[in-house]
Amino acid sequence: MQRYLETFFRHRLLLIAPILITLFASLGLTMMHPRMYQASARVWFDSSTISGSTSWNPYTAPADAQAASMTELLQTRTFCRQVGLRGPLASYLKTSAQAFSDPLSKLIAKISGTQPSGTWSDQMLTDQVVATITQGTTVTPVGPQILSVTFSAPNPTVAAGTAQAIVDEFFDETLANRQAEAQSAVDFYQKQLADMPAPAKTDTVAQQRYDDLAQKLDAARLQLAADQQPSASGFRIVDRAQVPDRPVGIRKALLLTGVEGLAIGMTISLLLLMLLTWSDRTIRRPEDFRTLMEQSPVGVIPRTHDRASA
Amino acid sequence: MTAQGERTASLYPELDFRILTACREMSISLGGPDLEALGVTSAGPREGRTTFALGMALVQARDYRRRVILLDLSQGRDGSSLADRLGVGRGPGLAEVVGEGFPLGLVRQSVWDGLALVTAGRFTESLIGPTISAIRGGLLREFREQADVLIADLPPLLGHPLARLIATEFQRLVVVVAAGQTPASKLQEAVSNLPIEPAFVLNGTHSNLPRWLQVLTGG
Repeated sequence: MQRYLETFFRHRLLLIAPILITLFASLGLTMMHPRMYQASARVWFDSSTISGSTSWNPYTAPADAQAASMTELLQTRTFCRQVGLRGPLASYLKTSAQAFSDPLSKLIAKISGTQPSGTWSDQMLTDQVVATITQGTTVTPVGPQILSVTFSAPNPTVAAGTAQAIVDEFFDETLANRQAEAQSAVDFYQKQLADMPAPAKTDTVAQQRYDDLAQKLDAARLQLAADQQPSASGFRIVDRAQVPDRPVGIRKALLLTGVEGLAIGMTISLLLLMLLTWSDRTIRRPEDFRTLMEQSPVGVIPRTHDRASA
Repeated sequence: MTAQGERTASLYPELDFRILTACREMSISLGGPDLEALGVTSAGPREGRTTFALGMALVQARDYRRRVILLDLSQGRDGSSLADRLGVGRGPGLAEVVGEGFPLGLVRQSVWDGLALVTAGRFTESLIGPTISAIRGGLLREFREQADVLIADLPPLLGHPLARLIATEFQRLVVVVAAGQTPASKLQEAVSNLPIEPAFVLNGTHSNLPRWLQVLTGG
């Protein structure tokens, strides 16, 4: 321990430098990052309507279940691409390709003279849309039935438009799934009934089975009709995403990146300290003498200001 | 004040009080008033040999009132010769005794009552062979006979042909180790296969810790 402390105070500038450099670099990068705008939309889910769905779990709050479902969808390329095209994000990215890139990439692009704006292929654009939506979206249940969808972007209109597009696309996707499910049930029962020969009046068992199937077909048709009604979707938008009038505060980001920078710098300094201590095989104290030479010195002369040269 | 007295007075600023105190303490471990011949060397240059040799000579001369011959064999290799530090001439010295047959009495330069300095003189490579022969022939014994104690500032053990040979001629050998300078492996290499067991002196120790931390860590 004493050796490490001695090494630290002997090379204190060298060992403090990585901490300061990483701290200021991380804070600087955060300051250089474009200011972000956040827009949120809030959606209310009706548990009674959703309970008809096959994926309904009575032990999970509707908002939680839908949050999980939306988060899953946000991991898919198709959904993100649809959101990008539905909202202003894709066209925004096309026109200002560099808006979301980090300052380092911007600097490299500036130095190399390349301008990625307008040169993206569909594939690259989709990749960028997916990355932006995945990184910038937060889905949080704010109660048992209300879900908040937040999107961050350097442009307020894009932030609001994309948050709204996520919600709208989720609605469409969920309804389409539900309708497809209901349609499948209708088709299945129709086929079962069509394949079943008309039961004899005396065959009560066959008659019972036939009636059951007919009943199930009716129920499936009813469900399909209900799912096709816009008012019976089981969810509605409580708050539409509004265009934010000011960017989000930078203090939290600065604090977070500052802590990260400090942690990285301290790790580097710690490794450097260990390296310096381990690599120092010189004798500095009588204790070192005993360890390294297995012998005690006959005496010790303290360092004086006018240390003799020879 | 006599010329000798002036020189002696000028000795003390050369050595810090703390160095002299440390030399006093070590002098007891190294034989005190019974010490006859002490060789002071180090593994490499600039480790504090000259300072330590001077300190030991002063302790022997002042505290024990003994006649001391301080032999400068480091030849100013570290840029600081005893002759310069004590304000006396660089020659004639050992080189003149070996090469030109100067009598020993002529090369002794009195520095203070009881303390005389013998410099290396105009030492050249060609004198290495004759010097080795002279030492083997008892030259150092002759010096010792002219004083109570002979203290020699020797060249560093590593990289000097004379160092090991001369080092073995002394009753006690001290290897000065500059704190935080010489790697332990170099020191081990320097003292390996020496026919006598050297004593070690750690020179220039200091702590980089702030005083409050030294108190906390007991350093």
